[in-house]
Amino acid sequence: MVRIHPVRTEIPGSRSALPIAELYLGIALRGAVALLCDEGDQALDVSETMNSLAEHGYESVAAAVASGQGDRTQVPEGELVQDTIVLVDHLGKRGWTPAQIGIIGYGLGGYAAFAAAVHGSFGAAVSVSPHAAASPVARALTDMAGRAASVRTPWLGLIGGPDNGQLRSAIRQLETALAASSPVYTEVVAYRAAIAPLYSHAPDSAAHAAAFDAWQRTTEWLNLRVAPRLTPLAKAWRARPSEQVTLVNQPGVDSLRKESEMSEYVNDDREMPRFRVNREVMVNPAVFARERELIFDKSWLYLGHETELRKPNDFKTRTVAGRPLIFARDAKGAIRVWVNSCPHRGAMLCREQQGNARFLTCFYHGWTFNSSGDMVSMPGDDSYGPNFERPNLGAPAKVDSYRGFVFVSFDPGIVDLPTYLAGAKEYLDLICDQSSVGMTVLEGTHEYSVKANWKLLVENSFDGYHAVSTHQRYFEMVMAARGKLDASALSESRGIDLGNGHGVIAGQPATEGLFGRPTSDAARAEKEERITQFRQLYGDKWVDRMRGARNLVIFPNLVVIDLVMGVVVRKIDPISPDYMEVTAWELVPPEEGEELHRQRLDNFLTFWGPGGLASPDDVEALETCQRSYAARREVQWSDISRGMYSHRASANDELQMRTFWRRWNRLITGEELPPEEQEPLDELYTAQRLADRGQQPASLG
Amino acid sequence: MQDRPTQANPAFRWTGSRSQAAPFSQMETGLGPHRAASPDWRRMEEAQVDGFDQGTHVQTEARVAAQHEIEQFLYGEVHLLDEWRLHEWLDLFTPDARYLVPATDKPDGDPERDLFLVQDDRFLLEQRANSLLTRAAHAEYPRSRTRHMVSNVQIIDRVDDMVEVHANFAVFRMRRGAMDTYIGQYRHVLVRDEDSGGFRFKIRKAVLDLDALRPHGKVSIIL
Repeated sequence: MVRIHPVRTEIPGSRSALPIAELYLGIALRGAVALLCDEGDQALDVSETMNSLAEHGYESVAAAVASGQGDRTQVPEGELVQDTIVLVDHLGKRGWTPAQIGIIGYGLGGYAAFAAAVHGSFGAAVSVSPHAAASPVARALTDMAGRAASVRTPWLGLIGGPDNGQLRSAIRQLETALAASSPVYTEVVAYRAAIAPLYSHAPDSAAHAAAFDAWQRTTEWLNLRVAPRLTPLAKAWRARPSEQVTLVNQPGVDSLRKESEMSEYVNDDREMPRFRVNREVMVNPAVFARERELIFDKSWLYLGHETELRKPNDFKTRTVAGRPLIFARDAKGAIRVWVNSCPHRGAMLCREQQGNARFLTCFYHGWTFNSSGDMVSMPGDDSYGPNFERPNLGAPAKVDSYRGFVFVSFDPGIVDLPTYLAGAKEYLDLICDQSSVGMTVLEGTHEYSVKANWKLLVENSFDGYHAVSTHQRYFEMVMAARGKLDASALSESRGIDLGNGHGVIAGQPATEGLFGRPTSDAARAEKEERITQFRQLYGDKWVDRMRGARNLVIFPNLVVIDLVMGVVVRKIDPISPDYMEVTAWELVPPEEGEELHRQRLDNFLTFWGPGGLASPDDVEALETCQRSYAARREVQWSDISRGMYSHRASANDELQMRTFWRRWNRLITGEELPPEEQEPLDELYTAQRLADRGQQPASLG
Repeated sequence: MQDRPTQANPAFRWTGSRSQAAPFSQMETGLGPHRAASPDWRRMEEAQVDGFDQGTHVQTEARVAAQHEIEQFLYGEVHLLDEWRLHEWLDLFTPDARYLVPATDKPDGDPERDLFLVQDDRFLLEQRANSLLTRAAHAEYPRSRTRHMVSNVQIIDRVDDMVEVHANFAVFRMRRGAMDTYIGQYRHVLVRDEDSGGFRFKIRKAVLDLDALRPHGKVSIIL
């Protein structure tokens, strides 16, 4: 679907005025394309092609070659080339050099594109079903084969049409000639079906498949060859005097800082500024062991949500910091957490994932415990003397919960949970206030893994910078569903240090419309009504904050992301330096109507789910990072410097990751790194709730 | 492809009511009043008991033919997947079809209420198929090799032109030196297509037997 309408105008052509269409972009540009069409194509399809190019970051100018000619059967090639040069020069006025320009041509325009590839050295050229004037494609291909040795621009030929002997042999002849004598790289791809111009309705799936594949190959061809334009900063960097050249990744040749003053793991240079993390920390088993001892044994760790246990004596078993635990309610309904190990000889007491039991009997020797953790019976207990201390179930040192989020700690001396949570409490409030009866965890859990170090997923969970590139196919889906997408809304956000290593990226209400598919009018009305009610309860300013998105990390390994269209609670469990397990639950306001509920389900699993259009690509990214750390001596540092320069970090910057790393560094090495100076947050990030919340969240039964 | 969903086509906005889902969930569990009412079903059951009796051998032959036809359909379908001919594969779905993969810890979940791994309507299915054929599908670029094994095909129920089919599946995915194995059961609902005479999916459901997607990390292919 067309989003931007190309501007139609005329420029001086080789013979007469040349009607063209222009689509220029104001934002980040990948390159420029000259689009050569057959007469008659222009009105029909070029808008959609130009918009698709715009999505890939190319601005374009289009013209029908040899337009205005009465008899197009006799157009000399020189005229075709001239029209192309006119377009290229027109782009040149906007600062594009030939290497930054791609040429795409259809039909007669395809022949012109090949002629241009012979005539000049451009970034890339693509011809779709090229034919010369009135002659069939096979003739044109034979003619092109004769000029293979003169091709100067990497050229891709996409030829579609019924498979007949003449066409097939012409294609083969062209391929052979190009492979043998073309000085530049070329490719020829043949399709059984005619290649419809982009996005016109193909008659059947085979034709659609051909058109789709042809377009993919076209954009890839350009992306791999058209030279990107340097930004002013990049130009200045290239132009700097040679004695300032530093070999960034050469071991031993580092910048001006005194290395002995810095931890070997984290490099926090406030002057350049630059923040780096040594990749050693992602692979080293000794570091992994220290993390277990100094971080996981000394923090509050997320166990589960109270709403996962509905009735007294409900239980679930899961692992936290390597310890198998029983997460349960006792007979009175209070939340209890036990070590899932019989105190006799250690057999796992409860081997089911979930269930309901007032009494748990160890299958090994029959010792029985109640849901309050007390031993109630042991077979043949007269073999133990009267002074024998009957052991009850073990438990983590501390258990507490905040707004339904249950945490445990294995450190008996740790501060209380609300103190530990520091500034993160407020963000949990912004999420939990979205229900008047208490946010609830849904049934159906995403349990998956990543072959990478756990800290990579922590970083990824509040990384705004990667969204547009890694999740291109997710946003393409959203664009197709919504008709448009304003990615610039992503920058209206702040990265915030919440204390104690917790961090968040929080967005203003504009971010609400970035994710997920659109709702019906009825659902939107319901949502608006709920918001109106919340405004009365909490005040406008708090509700305005609620309407923005937030990616929250509670140190060390709990991620809570609220993109307004869904809430994910993600627990990251390190298993080994290069492997982690991940568990994700969806949190919803249970009182929402069916459609809003279904929308949350849909949004969650298409974005965050390991079967969706986004998370698998994150997993791929992290796994390839981990693989490359084998070369950590050669490429030693990961850079996490974004936003250090401006003192006003947004979601696209990396302040929130530096917050995590500084805390990590403090716990692992003892070195204290001061927090970064930031511009004060405006009211949209600091406004408070009007009064105490109206209702206590539903907790213990 | 004329039916490709666009913003302008309201059939593909996020709407819909529970009642549309009800007949199919009833079909899947084998419950529902329609089962007892259908005379065909009663004849089928009789045929199962008295397979070799006079007068019922015709039904038995028909059943064998139906079994064969459905097996061939399923083999052909997964062959398209293994060849990554995803646009042709999309042709095998009705416009109101759904592709479902429940969460590993709740295989009998309700897609309207519980979290699933995959819950595609036609729009999402097209987005999935299209995106997998682009470089933007990083998890599948370069493409993995897959091989779908289908066995234990059983016709479970038949009402009018709809057939409920169960089968076992094992999908192997090979990429970058690793092999992921996805094991489970297909629970499909097929409809007879008037134009082609063949079958199309109304519900394509893959219920995983895995404890968790570990060490797979994801399911980026179509199961």
